[in-house]
Amino acid sequence: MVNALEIRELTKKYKDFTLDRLSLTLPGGCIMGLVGENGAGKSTAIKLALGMISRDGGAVTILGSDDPGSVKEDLGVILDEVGIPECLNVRQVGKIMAGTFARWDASGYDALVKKLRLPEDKSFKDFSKGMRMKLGFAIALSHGARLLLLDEATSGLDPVARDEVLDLLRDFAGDDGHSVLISSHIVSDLEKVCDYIAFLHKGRLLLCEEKDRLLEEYCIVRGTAEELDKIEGLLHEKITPYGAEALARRAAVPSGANVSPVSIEELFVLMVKEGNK
Amino acid sequence: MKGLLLKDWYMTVKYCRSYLLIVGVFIAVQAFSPNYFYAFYAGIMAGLIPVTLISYDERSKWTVYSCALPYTRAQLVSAKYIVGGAAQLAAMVVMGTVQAVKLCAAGSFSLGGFAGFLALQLFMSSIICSINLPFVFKFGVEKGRISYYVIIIASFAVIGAIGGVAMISGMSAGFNYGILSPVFLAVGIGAYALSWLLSVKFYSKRELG
Repeated sequence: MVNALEIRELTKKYKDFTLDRLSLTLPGGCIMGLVGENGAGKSTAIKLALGMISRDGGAVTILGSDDPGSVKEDLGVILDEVGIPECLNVRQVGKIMAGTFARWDASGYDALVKKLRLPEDKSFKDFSKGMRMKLGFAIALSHGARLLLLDEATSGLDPVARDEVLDLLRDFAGDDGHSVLISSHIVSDLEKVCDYIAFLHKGRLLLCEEKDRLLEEYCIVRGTAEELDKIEGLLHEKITPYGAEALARRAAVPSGANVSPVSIEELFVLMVKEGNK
Repeated sequence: MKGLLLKDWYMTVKYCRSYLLIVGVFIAVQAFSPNYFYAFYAGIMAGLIPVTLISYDERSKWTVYSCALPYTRAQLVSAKYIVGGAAQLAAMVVMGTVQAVKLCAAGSFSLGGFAGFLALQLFMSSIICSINLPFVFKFGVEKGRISYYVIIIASFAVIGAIGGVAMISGMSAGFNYGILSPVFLAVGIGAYALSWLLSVKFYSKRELG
């Protein structure tokens, strides 16, 4: 299967920030979570991939094409703010999108609008953040997209709305050949749905790996400071009056040591702290 | 493209009602006015509709979102020029009809003078739009607004000068503008076309995000 997204050495320089030679590959049929703090470069990466801003280096291939403009019919995009004009209602948005996408599925859109309980006659300006994002999803999922690019699409949503949105993502990714790149700083959401996780920190890629492999590869090890000193390659060791704990690769931890699984969120936080040292 | 025009139509109906009201007032005043000031102003107002739409687009982040939709930058620019052109033509048709009825009722209608009036009106509305839009597409509405004010002040000065000259020479209602109509028409349409090309060029290079 063709990779849904290939990013090679992607670079963008601003006065106070640089996205530095970002490389990652999203295989077709997978969901990748792009994790990073605010300002880590997630939105910049997505906007560069879409050609919204010019790059200073590197290359992007989306759905086998070097030109993002040629595959936009196959992309569903939700940015941190769903950019629908405030005076429009759901019905008008449906008509506009019918004139925008060649494969617009009007009945699919109507079904999603009903499923997500979106008011049809209310203006977009009166929508809550959750309703706005849901409308973004209804649009992105109603024109036969093969790749979803979602930038902070779950931020600001209440837990119920987030759960609904994650269900939509699971349904979408369940279809053959559908892929998703979703950026968020809410790591717990990504942990629920992603096959791959990429960590971005200060414009640099800390890692990009299969989620299950990450969870197998890393663990939290606890013990005395002396016990932990014997383990090589510890990441972010924390010493307290009650003992010490650190992030470690399982392979480096001696048998019998006190280890516990690490969550993606813990892994991210500890890696960022290590990166900040 | 159809989707873009439909979106702009919905927004024009919603946000530009005040413009339509003002244009209506000017048309009504023009019907009883001895000079052409109000006729030109209605066209200028129509030519400002695209900037108003872009302003709302930027505020709602449609400017960024639309770049993720299957439109080229040239199409996004073109939609605004089509809307602007249609609004100017509509203003010209309505104002032209009012003027024709007024001149016929006064028994002073001449085809050459009437053609000149229409050409001058199209020129005035087109020139404002033509100068304004490339700035807005290059810098955004906020920074482009500076050019907007400069253009508005300059255009009022021009209108005032034209009106003043016509009044002083006693030609306000009777001057045969038809002599200059090909020039007004050519410059108005040419400026609009050039402006369109410039805006596409500027917007293609603009960073959106």
